[in-house]
Amino acid sequence: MPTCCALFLPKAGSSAQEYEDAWACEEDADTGGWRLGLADGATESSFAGLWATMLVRSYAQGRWHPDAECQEELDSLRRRWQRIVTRRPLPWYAEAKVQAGAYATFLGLAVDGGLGGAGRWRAVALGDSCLFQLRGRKLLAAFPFAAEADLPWRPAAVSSRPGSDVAFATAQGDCRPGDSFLLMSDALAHWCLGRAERRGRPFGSLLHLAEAGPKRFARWVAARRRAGELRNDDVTLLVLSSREAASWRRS
Amino acid sequence: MPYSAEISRANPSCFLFLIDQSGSMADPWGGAQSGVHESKAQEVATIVNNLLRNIVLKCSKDEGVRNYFDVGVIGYCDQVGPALGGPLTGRQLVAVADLADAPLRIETRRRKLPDGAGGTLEQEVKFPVWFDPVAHGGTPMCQAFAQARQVLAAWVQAHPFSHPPIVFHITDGESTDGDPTLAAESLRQLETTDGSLMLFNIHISSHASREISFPGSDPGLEDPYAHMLYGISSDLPDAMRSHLQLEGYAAAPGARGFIFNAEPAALISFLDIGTRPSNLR
Repeated sequence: MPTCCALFLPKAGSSAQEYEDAWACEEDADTGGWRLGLADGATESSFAGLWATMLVRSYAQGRWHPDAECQEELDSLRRRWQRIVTRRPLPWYAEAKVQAGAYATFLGLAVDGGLGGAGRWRAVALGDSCLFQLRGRKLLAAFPFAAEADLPWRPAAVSSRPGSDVAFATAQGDCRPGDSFLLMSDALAHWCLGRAERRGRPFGSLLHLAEAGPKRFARWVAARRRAGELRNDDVTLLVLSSREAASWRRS
Repeated sequence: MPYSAEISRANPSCFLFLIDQSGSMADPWGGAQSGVHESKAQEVATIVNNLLRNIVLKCSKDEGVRNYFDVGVIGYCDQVGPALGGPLTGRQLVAVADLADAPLRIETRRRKLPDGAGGTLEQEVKFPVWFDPVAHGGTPMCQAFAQARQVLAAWVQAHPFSHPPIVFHITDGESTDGDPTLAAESLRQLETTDGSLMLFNIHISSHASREISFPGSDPGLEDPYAHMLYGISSDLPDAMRSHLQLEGYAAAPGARGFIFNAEPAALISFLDIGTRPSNLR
């Protein structure tokens, strides 16, 4: 039985309300397919957490797919974001931030047919959140980046400003029963890719953490941050797999 | 590694602007032949007010303005003292949230912004003003550095683990109260566990002269006044050098935070890069 679990934490020193990553995970009960979205709201912009949440919810609910014409749905989301953030009068600085727009990186994964049988997956990305496909212990695919050095210093992001163009990277592949998909925001992607390059086993550790639950994950993240291995940023990990144990959280 | 401390609400950093407001600041930037009609004092006020606006915007989030920085402006002419006006008159350092909420006035200006499709569009923006241009009297640079030291000594004592303060000193002339070298060195000796205070000097000219930006260890400056300003300027941290190189400056290893005969564009770039936090949490 495939399960999607999510582990997430704000920056150390920030409250849960200040977490600006967003994730969503939806299963199609009829087809057994899954749609997962992960977005990372840009720290520099305001109302970026809201924008990130709107993007992932809309994607996971199947209202848009970047393979197809998505400009109309994105523009509709942008108008909604604008309406929400300008509901009350804003001071000059908040008004300027709304004019500048909110930005969020985006990563989406659609798996057709579920993980119970052979199927296909398609992924889209803009920015530096990363997807990894595992078969057993073997890394089959890394998208959109496969090396730590390739992660961009200033990643591209989806803007909430009306009419902004977006050019998503896309990838696709086959999946089989027993495969796992890990989606993660940039701080964890940096750790993972760096660790893998130094012959560590980051993916096994993360699958263990997904099984162990959020308290263990929080302790692990705190220890990596203290050791200087993990940047102090919002952290999100989504795991879609057919392993049974992650029953503590199911979307 | 120095200058790597996270800048957070628990451990904020600090920017202090020391601005020469002497009589010669009433002259046009680059001299009468430059085609610039505004005085140096007016241009500097516009540039620094815009920078203060950008600092507030960097700290502005959904719920309001986060106090990542304390900010101060000290002017020196006939007297030396805090230059912020309006409700902040007399305040030497203010938390950025207080700065956001208490400008002297808010003007409306038109700006060109990217339209998201490769072009630009003109938009009205609110432009807060915290201090107005002033140009009269002498150039008591020693007193200005001494007052900066007094203000920032208390700040580093209160924030021993923070990213250290950065002082931007903008001047167009020579000190009229003696050689400021010792006062500047005393200021630069202030430190936190993350490193020593950084003092950057930007000289602007009333004459059209060759700009010297971010010279290295052997700048070969013939002008003794330029040599003095070079001598009291801090080395640029690597992150700032990298950003300056991206903007086309040489900023080689060992480069100091110093510009002589700065053009307005160089002042804007340097202030922007110098106040760009790489480690804001």
